Amino acid sequence: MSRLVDLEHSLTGFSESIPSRVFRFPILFDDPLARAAIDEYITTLRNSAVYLPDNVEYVAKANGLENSSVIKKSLASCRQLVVGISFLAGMPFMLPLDPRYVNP
Amino acid sequence: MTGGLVTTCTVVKADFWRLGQCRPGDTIHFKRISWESALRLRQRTEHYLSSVKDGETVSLVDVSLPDEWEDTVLARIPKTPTTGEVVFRQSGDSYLHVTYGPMVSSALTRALVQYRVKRVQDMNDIIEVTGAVRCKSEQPTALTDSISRPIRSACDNSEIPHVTLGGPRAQSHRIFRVNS
Repeated sequence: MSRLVDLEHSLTGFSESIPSRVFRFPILFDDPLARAAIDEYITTLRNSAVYLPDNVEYVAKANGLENSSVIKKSLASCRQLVVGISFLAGMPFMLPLDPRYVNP
Repeated sequence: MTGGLVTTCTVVKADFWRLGQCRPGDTIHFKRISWESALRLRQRTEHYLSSVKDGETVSLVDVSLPDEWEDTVLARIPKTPTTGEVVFRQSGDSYLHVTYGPMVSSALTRALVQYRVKRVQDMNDIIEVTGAVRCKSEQPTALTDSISRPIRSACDNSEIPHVTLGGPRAQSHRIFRVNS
C-alpha cells in the first residue's frame, strides 16, 4: 500500500505517449437495419424502457441536451479513443479526444 | 467485481460458493465486515473444504458473522494541478481499488491511469493490475499467499483479468442466503 502511494507521489508530470492505432469506420444513424433491430427488441424482449424507442435520443436527454444532433455530431466529427471492447458484445467503449465534444 | 459499473458492495471470497448457490427468487442479505474478518472467514471456508477433501467427518458449515467493520478508504492523495484526488479503497478481500478525480470519464484520465498501470505491473508482488476508465485495481500477492489456494481451485476466477470499479462507497460486505 505504501509503495503504491509513493508511486503516486513520484509521478508529477505526464509526458508519455500511449501507443494507438487509427481506424476509420462509416457510421449511420437511424438506418433501416438498426430500426428493424430495435423494433424486434421491442416486440420480443420489452416494449418500454428509458432508452426506447430511440437510444440516441435517450443519451441526449441523459446529458441534458435538447435533441440528439449534438451527440451525432460529436460521434461523427471528433476522434474517439477506444478504451475497452465488448462491455456490450462487439461494441467499443469510447472517449472523445477533444473534451469540447459531448462524452455520452 | 463488475465490468466497470459502480457497486455498493463486494462479496468476499469466503462466500463465493454461497453466491454460486443462489437461485432466482432467493433473498440476499449483506453485512458489512472488516478486511481481517474476511480473511478469517476465508480460512474457515478453506479449512472446511480441506477437511472434506481429506475425508474427515465434518459438521455443518459455520456461517456465523462477525460484527466489526472498518472504513473502506485506505488512503487519499489530495488533488494536484495534473491529477484529481486519488483514493485507495479496499475492494473485496483481495484487491485494491484506486480512483482518480471526480466520477467523470475522460480520455485524459484514462491515459493517466494507463501511465500508472504500466508502472504497477513492474512491481514484483502485484499479481495483476487492470486499468478501467477512471480507476485501476491491484491484487497484491500478500493477500493471496497460502490462505487462498483451496478455494481458488474451486471457485476463483482470478486468472481472468477483471476490473473492479467500486464506486465511492464500496465496502467489504458479507453475503449469506436466507432460507425462507
